[in-house]
Amino acid sequence: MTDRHMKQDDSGDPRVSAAYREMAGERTPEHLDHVILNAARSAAKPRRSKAIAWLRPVAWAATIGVCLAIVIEIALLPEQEPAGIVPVSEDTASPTETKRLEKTTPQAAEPPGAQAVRKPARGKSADMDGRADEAEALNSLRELRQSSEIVEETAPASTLRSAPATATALEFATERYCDESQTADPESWLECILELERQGLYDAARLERELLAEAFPPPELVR
Amino acid sequence: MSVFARLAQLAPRALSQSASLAYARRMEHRPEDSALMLRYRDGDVAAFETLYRRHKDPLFRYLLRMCRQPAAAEDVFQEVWGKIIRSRDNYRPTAKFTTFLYHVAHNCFIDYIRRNKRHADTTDIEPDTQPDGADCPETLVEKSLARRRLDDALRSLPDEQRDVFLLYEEAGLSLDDIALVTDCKRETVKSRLRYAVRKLRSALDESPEAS
Repeated sequence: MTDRHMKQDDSGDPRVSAAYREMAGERTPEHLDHVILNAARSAAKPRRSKAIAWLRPVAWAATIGVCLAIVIEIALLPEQEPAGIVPVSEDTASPTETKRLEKTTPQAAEPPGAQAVRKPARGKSADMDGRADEAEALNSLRELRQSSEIVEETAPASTLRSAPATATALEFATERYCDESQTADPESWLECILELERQGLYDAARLERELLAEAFPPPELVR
Repeated sequence: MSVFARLAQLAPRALSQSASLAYARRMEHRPEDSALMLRYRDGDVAAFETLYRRHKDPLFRYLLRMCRQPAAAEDVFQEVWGKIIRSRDNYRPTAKFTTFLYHVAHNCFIDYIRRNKRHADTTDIEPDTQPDGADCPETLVEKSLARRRLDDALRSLPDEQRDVFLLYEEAGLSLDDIALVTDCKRETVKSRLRYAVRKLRSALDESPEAS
């Protein structure tokens, strides 16, 4: 027993302590020393590899994310240039047009305005109602076009890349510039198309040309 | 005064100075346990080795006497040092390292008791009966018998009393530190130690014929 013990209290007994010291001579087995010292060494090492272990899954996740983004981008690319949605009622639409309409841009890619316009056009309502709806739709789409032009002027080029829905709406809007009186004969229709081209609405003009070609086959068409 | 006479006068002083310097240097080479643990926390494995070699044998004996089975003592011993190694990042030298070490050991032993309810039924420890070369045969026999009696008495102590006695003897902890380790009051620790020492003393005082 140490002096510290003896000074602090009288609970111990030097004779018992000495006898215990004689009796207790066991030592730690060597294999335990190896195990514990090896554990201590290996625990002291991997401080740097801990950070690497944390970085690795993050790197994998980032790589997978980038790959997915690229695949989705590629998959969506053809859908960015649809032939356009022609809001013609089913009564007046030709069979080929109807098929084309069915194959056009999916609902999700359309702006809410376009969906709102298309719904009444699909219904089998009376002519007057249809015209009123079309006029309403035309107004709303003109507003859309104006707002998109504002966006084009103000927004940077990078943000415009992700606006296919607005482009579709524009195409949809330009088709309505040639009304029924203009499309009655090919010449007035062509004038309307030329007017569209003068205004710089080339997509609309192209679509009108296609419709013109379908309505009046080439022999009758005066180019 | 000749040169030799002057040297003879200076020699004892120089010797005493060099001896005290050597002693001081030796004292400097024994860093605190807490400092060693902090160095290990910073990645110095050699500091841990020093710390381990300093405490391994008393801790092993403490666990051996508490668990009563060498295999169990080895398991708990590994568990204790494993916890010390894992806790190095959170180690703060708020108390003595010995107190911290034996607190961990005490808790590991309690966990071992909970895992093995039947630990008290069996015991494999043989007291160290290595004879000293200088003693005569009669003295050796007497010493051996005394050791065995002490060992039996130690084993027959209640766990709490044996715990306090071993922390006092093996770890060299003070009553306050033992109170910290065992989560008891100082007076409780003192009374347990007194009971334990009394029983062990009476076991030593027993005559060989009576045993």
